[in-house]
Parts: sequence; C-alpha cells; structure tokens
Amino acid sequence: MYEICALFVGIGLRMWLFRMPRVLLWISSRPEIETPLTSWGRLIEGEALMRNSQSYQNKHSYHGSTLLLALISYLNLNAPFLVEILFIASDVISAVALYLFAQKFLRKELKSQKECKEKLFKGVSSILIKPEHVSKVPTIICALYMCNPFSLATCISKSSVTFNNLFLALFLLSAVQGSIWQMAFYVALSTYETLYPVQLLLATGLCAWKYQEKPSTLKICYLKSLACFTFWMALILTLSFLCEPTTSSLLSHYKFILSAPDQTPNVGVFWYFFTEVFDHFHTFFMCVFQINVLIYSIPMSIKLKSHPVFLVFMLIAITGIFKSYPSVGDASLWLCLLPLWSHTFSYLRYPSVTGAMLLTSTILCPVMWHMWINAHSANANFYFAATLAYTTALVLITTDTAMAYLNWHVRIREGLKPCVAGTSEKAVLRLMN
Amino acid sequence: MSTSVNPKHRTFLSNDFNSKKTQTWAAISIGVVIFAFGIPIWWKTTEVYRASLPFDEISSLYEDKSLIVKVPILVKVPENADNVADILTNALKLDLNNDMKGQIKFLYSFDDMNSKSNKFTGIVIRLHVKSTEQMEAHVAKDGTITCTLPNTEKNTIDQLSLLIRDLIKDVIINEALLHHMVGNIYRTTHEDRHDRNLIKMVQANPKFELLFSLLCPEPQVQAATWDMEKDSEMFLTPMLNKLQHLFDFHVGSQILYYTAIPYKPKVKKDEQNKALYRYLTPQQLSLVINPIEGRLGSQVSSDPTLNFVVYLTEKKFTPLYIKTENGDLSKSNAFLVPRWGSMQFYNIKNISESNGLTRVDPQIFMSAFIPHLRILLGLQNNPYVGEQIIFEDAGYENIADWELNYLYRLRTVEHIASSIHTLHSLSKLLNQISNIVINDNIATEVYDAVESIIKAKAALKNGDLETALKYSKKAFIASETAFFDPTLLELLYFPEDQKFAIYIPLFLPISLPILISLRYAFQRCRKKDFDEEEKEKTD
Repeated sequence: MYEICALFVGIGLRMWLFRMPRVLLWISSRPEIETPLTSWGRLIEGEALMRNSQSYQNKHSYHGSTLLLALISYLNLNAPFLVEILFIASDVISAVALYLFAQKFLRKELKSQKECKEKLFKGVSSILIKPEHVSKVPTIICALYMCNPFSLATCISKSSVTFNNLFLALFLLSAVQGSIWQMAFYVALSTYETLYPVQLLLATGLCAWKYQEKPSTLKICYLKSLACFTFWMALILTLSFLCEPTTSSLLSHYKFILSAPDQTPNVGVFWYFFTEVFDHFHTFFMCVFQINVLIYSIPMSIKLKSHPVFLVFMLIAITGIFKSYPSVGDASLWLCLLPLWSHTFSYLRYPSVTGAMLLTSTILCPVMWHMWINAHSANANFYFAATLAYTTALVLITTDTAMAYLNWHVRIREGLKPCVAGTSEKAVLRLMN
Repeated sequence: MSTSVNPKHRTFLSNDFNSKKTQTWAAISIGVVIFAFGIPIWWKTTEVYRASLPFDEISSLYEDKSLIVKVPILVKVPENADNVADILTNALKLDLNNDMKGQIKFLYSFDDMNSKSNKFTGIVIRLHVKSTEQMEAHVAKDGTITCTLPNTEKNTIDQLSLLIRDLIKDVIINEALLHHMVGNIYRTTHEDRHDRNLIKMVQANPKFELLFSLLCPEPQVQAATWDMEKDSEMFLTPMLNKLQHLFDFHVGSQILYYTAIPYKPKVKKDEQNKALYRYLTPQQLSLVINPIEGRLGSQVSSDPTLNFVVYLTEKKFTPLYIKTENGDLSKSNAFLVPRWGSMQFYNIKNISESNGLTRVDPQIFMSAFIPHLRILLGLQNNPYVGEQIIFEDAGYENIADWELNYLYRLRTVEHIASSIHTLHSLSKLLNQISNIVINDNIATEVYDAVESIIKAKAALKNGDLETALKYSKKAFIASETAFFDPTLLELLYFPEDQKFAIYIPLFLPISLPILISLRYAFQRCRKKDFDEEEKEKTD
C-alpha cells in the first residue's frame, strides 16, 4: 500500500521536474550527475552526427554503447515524448524489482534463520531478523529509490546510469530467484553498457548455488553461468554489430572506459590524478587504477561465499565508487539497499560520522564547483577535496556495513558480548583476512 | 567448502568467512594478482624506450675533427709560354701549401680539370705578358684572376706567386676566418676568437627573414612611404636568387608611425653660430636601437630576422649625419649592428617644401643596406690586399661568383663543424643520463646527420662544393632537429631516486595491509604443517 504511494510520489516528482527547464539545465551541467560516458547531451550530439554521416562512428563526444544510441535515436525520430516515459518507466521498474527482491530475500533469510534457531546462541534474539523487517524494509527500499535526490537527479538528467541501475536491480531480483539464465542476461546487458559488472559473474555462480531449486555443485553453477553469460554477450554484441558493422565503434566504447582519456571532473578519483601524472607513467597508473576496481572481487567472493547477496551488494558498491567515470546515480542504487541489513545496524561503528560526511560533501561539491568554474576564486584542488570527501564517505559506509554484517554473523553464534580475553579467538575481525 | 548438496540452512549459519582457510585463500589471491599481473605490467609499462644511435660513429667523427678542403687551381697561359705555367705552378705549390695549422687542411691541387661537377668551383689564373705594364692582378666577377706580367723572369714570377698567395689565402679562400670559425665552434682555440668578420656574420640557419622597416616618428609633420615590393624586386631579388642554395630568404616590410628614438644629436655650428647639421657619435649610436627594437616585431617569425631600418629624421634634427671613429661623416649615413641588421638615417631634402608624403628613394637606402647584408652573410666589402690587385664590381647581382663559392665553402665548413659538435653533445648527454626516452624520429635524424656529414666531408675533399653544401645543410638541419626535439626535455627523464617519490605515496599505504596479511598467511601455512607434524608424532 505504502509502496504504491511511494511509486506515485516518485513518478509525480519526476514528471514535475521534467517540466522545469531551468532545473533540467542546471542538472545537466552538474559533473557529479553527468559523466562523459553517460551524459544525455553527448548522446544527442552523437545522434545528430550519426544522422548527418549515416554512421554510428563518432569518437569525439559520445562514448556510450551503440545499442543505446540506436534505441534513443529511433525513439527520438518516431515518438519523442516516449523518451521521458522511458526513463521514468525504467526507474519505476527498478523500484518494483528492488521491492520484490527485498521481499524475497528477507523472507528467505528469515526462513533459514528460523530453521537453525537451535544452533544460535541464547540471548541474541534482540538482533535477529524479525517479521516486521520483512514487511517494512521492502517498502522503505522502494520509497528510498523513488524519492532520493541522487536517483531523481539521475533520472531527470536522462543519463544512462538509469538503465544500468535497472539492469542491476533486475539482476538482484533474478539472483534471489536463482535462475542462471536471467542473471546472466542482466549481467551481460550491464557489462555491455559499462564494462565493470563483469565481476558479478563471480556472484552469479554463488547465487545460483545457494538459491537454485535443484541443488548442484559450485563448479557446475559457475560453468553454467559462464556459458549463459557468453551466449547472451555474443547475442548482444552481434546485435550491436548489426547496427554498426565496424568493430572499431564497439571497441572504442570499451577503450574509452578502460583508458579514460577524458579528464572532465567528476566524483571519481581518476581525473585529478591523470591531469598531473607524467606521460611516462600514464599507462602504468591507468593499469593500477583499473586493477584497483577489479581486485577486490576475488577475495570477497572467497570470503562471502555463503552470503552471495551481500557479495553482490559489495561489488556494486565498490564498482560504483572506484570506476573510471562514476556518478551519484551509481551510488544511489546501493545506498538504497542499505536498509536490507538494518538488523546489523547496531554494530555500525560510526554511522553518524559517515552520514554527516556524505551529506556535507554532497552539498559541498556544487559549491566548490561554482567557486572554481564560475567565481574563479578556487581551483581544481578545492573541487577534488570535496569529491574526495564524498568518495571517502562512501568507502567508509561500505566498510562499516561489511564490518557490521560480519560482526553480526559472528555474534549470533557466539553471543552478544565479545569473547573473554585469553582464548585463542581473536576479537578483531579483519575484512580480508 | 566442497558440499555437493546445498544445505541452505547450513549456509546461513556457516562461519567459514572467518575460518583460517578462507582468510589464507583470500590473502593468497590478492598476492597472486599482484605478482602475476602487477609486477609484469609495471615492468612493461615503465620501461624507457631508447632507439639505438650510432654513438661510435659520432665519437669517431668528433675525434677526427679535421676537414680537408680541396681547391683546384687552373693556370692558363698564352700558347707559347708553357714553361711559365710550370714555374708559376711550382712557385704556387711552395707558397700555398706552407702552413697547415688548425683543423682544416687546404689542399691546393693543380691537377687537370677533371672535376666531377659541371661548374668549376676552383680558381682560374690567366697570365698575360705585357712589357709596358706593371705587375697587377685583376679579379673578374666570375673569379678568374687575370695577371699582367711585365716579363717572364723567375723573380717576377715569384713575386706574382706571393701576390697570388696573399690574394687566395686572405680573400678568395680566407683560411684564417675558416680556422677561427671552426675553433669557435669546437671551443678549442681560446685566443683569436675575436675575428671581427666572424662577429659580424650571422650564424648559419637554413632560413632567414629580412625585415625592412620605415620609421616615421612624426607623421603629422612629414610622412614617407615606399613601394618595397617593387624596390626589393629590383634590388634584392637577383642577389637572393643567387643565394638560393645557401639560404631561404623571406622578405617583409612595414611602416611604423610615431616610433621615435629618444636621442640628442650634437650640433655642428658654423662661424655665425647657426646650425649647419647635426651628427651622432659612435657612442651614441649604440643606444639608438634599443628603444625601437620592441616595436619592430622581429619576433613574429620563428626564423632569425635581419632588420633593416630606415629612420626618417625629425624635422628639427634634419640633416642628421653619422660621424665615424676617425671624425669623418659617414657617406652612407648608415651603421651596421652585428648579427642584427643595419639602420640608416634618411634626411628628407627640401623639407619646407614637402607637402607631407615623400617617397623614400630606394637608391639611397639600398646602397647602404646591400653592403651591410653582404657583411651579415659573411662577405667582405672592398677587400684590400695591395694596390696591385683590382676587384671587378659584382654587378646588379651584388655577389660575384667567386664570392658565392667563398660563401659556399664558409657555410659548408660551418655546417659540418656545427653538426659534429651538436651530435657529440647529444651523444654525451644521452650517454650520461640513461633514463631519457629516445624516440625513433630522433634516431632517424641522427643517422641522417651522420651519413650526410660523411658525404659532405668526402665531397669537400673532392672539391665538389655544391654537393658538399647540400649534404652539409642536410646534416646541420638534421642535427639541430634531433638536439632540440621537445621529447628530450629534462622534464621527461626520471633519475632513480625520483621514481620512488612517484610510487611511494600511492603504494606504501596500500601495500602495508597486503604484506602483513601475506605474512600471516604464510605463518598459518607453516603452523598448519607444524601442527600436522606434531599430530603425526603424537599419533
């Protein structure tokens, strides 16, 4: 009931904001929301160039994928009013998918918690998952996703992060149902758009292993997910190739993501470093930064083998923070999923600090941008400091959540208090060790 | 970890994320990624690309800096006087090949005219015997030395040989200047670096910009104009065309208004204390150029600019003359600024009757500028060897053929010496600093330069001036391009200790937790083995 209200409020907000040209103009100039990879303005420019030259080849401004360009140009040509409806619809579908996912996931967690109640430590009932979690949390998640300013801004600016979030939300829904075909399909779609979700393949096998109807070994799950992913990816690439029969347009998209040649400021960590690095070390540090995004996936898959949904959450979070062209839309997805682990919130070490940091840095970023670009009284360092504070806040939220989650899982087995000193168990948890 | 059935309730509760095995595997996986991917990527992407250069050849060229310049000499005599030719040839051989100091060896060869080029760039000596006349030598425009002898005695011929030797060594070849120039380039001779002609001459460059400026300081009183295109076509173009193999000239002109020199000329008064004329002393002349140089715009072109300035004297200072060092008034009213250009003060006659716009007479300013241009290029005006030697006028081209050969020889030697020196400096630099990236284009230029130097030296040795000039110019341009290539800048090489400053800020904070966890992983592995051994022992 409340979720329908939330959906309508969200739709209403979006439709109202779409009618305000000044808001649209301001938002489309925000570097935190629009990146060279995802911006709508560049897509329109690419479409105009394509219409003039009859080719999708355009290395200068539009760096997204070919299929997206094809879809939007087709819509623009035939039914321009459908574009806004498309973005609002994708947000709505994401919110509904997240709602269903949260519901199913919490139900399954509650059920497995009930099944091993006797193995839990006595007296931990205050921190266990409760039935009101199952009824309230999905609504909260849906409302959060529809109404939070990050996803509102992303939808209004018509950035392609909306579609990325849609695919990831649908992936989460199919993950908790355990169907490998769907999971592989959504991973393929979002990998096609931005390269980084390929790490989710590691989680695909684990989700299938845990949530499938008929049991099978981990190896078979991984092989199946790999095969399905290859199939879907080949299909999508073939479609893309059919739209634009040159391989260079395909590769230029991924080359742009991997080599990040455009140093337009955004909320990421790439641009500032690469404006000042020596040319001699450019390739090396580019490799280092890209490895930084991908290196956490394997150790986390090893560690969170039995908690694949949390693994997916962590992967989405880390990708959204460290990728080459992040935006606030990438963060909005996993920030909305935080209430899923609300039963672990009592173990968060510094929630108010990170929350305040996130709020402050979000407000500070446009201020610093204005001071730098419009008022000429600041320089790039100011803006980078604000975005660095934002990134640090997100990283702290991620690690704190992970700590709280793991802490909770230890506590429900061993009791609420930490163990007596002198035993061989170590009381400090290291995330990777 | 290897359950075949997925017991769902067990996975909820499984604490295996905390187990030592998981932790070990996680740490090992990070270590594997770093060592398997990170280190090879680091090695590959930070290697310094150095194309191979011919360092040995460059050092051998530098060690052996000597140049051999062959000058073929042809002696022509009237039909019945062959023995005169032999006597003169022997005398010349003795006199000319006397002193061979320095790095340039001049080979005067009296071989037959079997030159490989179409044009004979040597020296032709014609003898005439006329008993009534004094001994004299006449240098024609094409370089033929026509000598008139009163008789054919040995004494006379010896005298003539001495005369010709002075003529050739000092004027036509000018050995001293070439030695000084090469010494300057290699910095080997510390004396004798003040050859005045060397200081006035511009240094070699493939292209020059000639900028003619007309300065009217008070156009409201008197203004002038000129038609520089037509004038330069008439006066300059023949000369510049003759020099086209040497230099590439670009001629430009401008008229500047309200650009005045803040000077105070001295007044020469006559008996009634009325001002006759005004004059500038040589000391005042050195202060004249600076105030106006900024307005001339000589930095617009990237080639070296030679400025020729015509200054329209102000009405209150007309007529203005220049006094030379010995007190006379200069005939051309112009002065040369070494390596920069020249300036002339132009007095408008009948200024009270002029109605504002006069046309500057090209005869007046070109007759001053062209000799100055010759000096800037390296030629001498009115050389004096003795009263017995007469030089023919160069004609409308303003450069005689022998002067052209002289310039070819001069610039060829300069190009070769300069390129060898540049290449040597470059190779020294690249050998000392082992971290500079050497791109392929630099290597190509250096190889080209070395090859061209060798060919130019060989052509000089054969006396083939045109080929020598072509290759020496190619070598000069290639060596300058390689040396001043922007990718060789100091900013782009990293000494070893600075490399740490680049890596440490990023990698030290990241690597500490990884290294510690790896250490724990190894400790656990070893402890596990130790425990297993203990178990076996107790069992």
